[in-house]
Amino acid sequence: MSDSPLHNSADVKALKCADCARSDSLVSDLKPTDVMPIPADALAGFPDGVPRAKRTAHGHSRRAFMRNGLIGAASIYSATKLDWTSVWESAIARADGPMQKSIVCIYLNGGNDGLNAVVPIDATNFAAYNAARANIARVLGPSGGGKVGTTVMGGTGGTMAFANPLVSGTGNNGDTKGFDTLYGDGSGGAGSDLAVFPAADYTPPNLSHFESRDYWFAGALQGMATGWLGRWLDAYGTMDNPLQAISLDSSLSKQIRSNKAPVCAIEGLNGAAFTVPNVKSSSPNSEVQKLAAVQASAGNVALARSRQIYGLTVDVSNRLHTLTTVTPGAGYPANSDLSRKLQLAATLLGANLGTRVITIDWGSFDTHGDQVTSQDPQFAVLSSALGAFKADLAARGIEQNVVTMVFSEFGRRVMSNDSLGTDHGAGGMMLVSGSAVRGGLASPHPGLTKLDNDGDLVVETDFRSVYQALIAEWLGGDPTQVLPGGPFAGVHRYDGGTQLMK
Amino acid sequence: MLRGVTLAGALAIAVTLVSGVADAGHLRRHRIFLPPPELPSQLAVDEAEYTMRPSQLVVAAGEVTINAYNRGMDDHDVQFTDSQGQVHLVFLHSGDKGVLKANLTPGTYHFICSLFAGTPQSHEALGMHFDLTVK
Repeated sequence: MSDSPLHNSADVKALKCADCARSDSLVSDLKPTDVMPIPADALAGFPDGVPRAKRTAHGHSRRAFMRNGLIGAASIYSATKLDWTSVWESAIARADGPMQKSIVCIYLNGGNDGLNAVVPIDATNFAAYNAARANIARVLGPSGGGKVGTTVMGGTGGTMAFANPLVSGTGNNGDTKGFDTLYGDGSGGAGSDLAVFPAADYTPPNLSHFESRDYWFAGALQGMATGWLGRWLDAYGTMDNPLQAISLDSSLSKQIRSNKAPVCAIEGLNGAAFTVPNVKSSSPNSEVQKLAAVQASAGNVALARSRQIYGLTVDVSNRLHTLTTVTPGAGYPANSDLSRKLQLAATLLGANLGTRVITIDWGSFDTHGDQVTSQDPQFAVLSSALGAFKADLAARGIEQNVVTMVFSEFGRRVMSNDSLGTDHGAGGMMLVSGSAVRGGLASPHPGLTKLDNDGDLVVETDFRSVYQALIAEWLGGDPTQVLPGGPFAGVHRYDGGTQLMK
Repeated sequence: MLRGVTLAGALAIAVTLVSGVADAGHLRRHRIFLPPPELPSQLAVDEAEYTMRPSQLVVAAGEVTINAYNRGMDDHDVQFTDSQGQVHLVFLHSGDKGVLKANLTPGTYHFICSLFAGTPQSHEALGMHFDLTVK
């Protein structure tokens, strides 16, 4: 399924606008201090040792790192000049220890309408929901008659439901995994691993994409040069490993912009394999491996060394291939940029290079018009991809160390437009996923019968409360050192619980 | 105050008509009418090269506050003409914020960035425009 369903020129224009805004979500005024090559054998633990990077008049020489091929490059943002060899030695040293707890932040670009994702279905609120947005409203039960249905969320007393594009199974998103399988029975016990905040935001709301996004990224309702996770890294991260925080993008996310802790951006890993000109083979690696196995004649040290390196490179390439290949059974949605980024996240986390934070910027959720046709396909991708990511991490044996947070810069208005969309509003949906997470309805729904002065959802959860809980209960550290204006009210679950994590 | 009383009355009726649990059949049997939420009286406009992104396409008649933000690398402005023919404009250097206030009657208002109007570099022609409906 493609996550860019373009139906007409208006959709194309909307996408163009979203792309424009996406660049603003990155730190475009900050240039990388260095671009560090990612050697093919880095993800395999440098079986032949970390190469010595030589300093030249123009920086570091890439030659040593190219010995067994490169699979990508990391744009480094650091207050101090880092030596590549030291960076990799630091990262590999961490790989010897147990994996640390980490967080993956998925930002839904444009302001997601959470009200059409998790729907209040008690009679009074559902009547108000229908009255306010009849032209895009969900129906109770299975989809039908051109309307998208809903599936009741456990642990909510029958008062809340997922929209069916977020729910697995035939007639819903069609996949075997999704929000429903992550959410489980909503009890917060074993198998209930998706916490849903139906109305998270701040007050008073600022409805500018630019401004609101900056607040969410900074973890503060004021302009700040650093992101909330950047400040957490400054306080609790390392000063020698930029791989501790990675934006999977061409530039750095404002979330991990720091004062002193080195961080980086990686757009992608190209993979590593031999290509042999004029030789048609489905597996050039195997051809080169045969060559590497041929004994060099006695005394021909150079040829022997050369063939040894061939063999080593094939070995690294094959090991890397197992890391970058999609885990069987993970079931990522095809042709999706979100799938690609989550697979890359799983690969990097699986390599255990000391990565604590990964940021992902995805989607086009600014749905002023034709909301159902643009939002629902993205919902289906998000739901399936989150399920697949969890399965992928589990297959790598690291799922228990990873938490995924999903958010957007604001919610949308309760009342829909004649253009079948919704304008910017308050109280957006926020999700936290992982087997360490206490799944279920993580705050009561504010309801639709008592709205704020602009007719928007009442904000039930200050988003900084969630950040606070993630620091205190998961990443570690003192939230008041990271989040200005704190401490904030704690998590207050629908069932009365006050913990975000199990 | 009157609006609040009306809303509360309507909600009381709704609560009387339906039980506390969701029931599609029940909802079909009783047509429940609730007043729609109020329209907002302010909007944000985000500008960059070469887009104008309003937070609202529909606002309420009366005094409307427009908060404009230029996050582009170039200068921009926000301009529109009200029903009295008065032109409202705020100029924004790169990184600037600005505010416009206007008393608007119901209708449709065309917002543009007026820089380089009438030239091939017209920001409006490059895509910096939108229509705001006032109800």
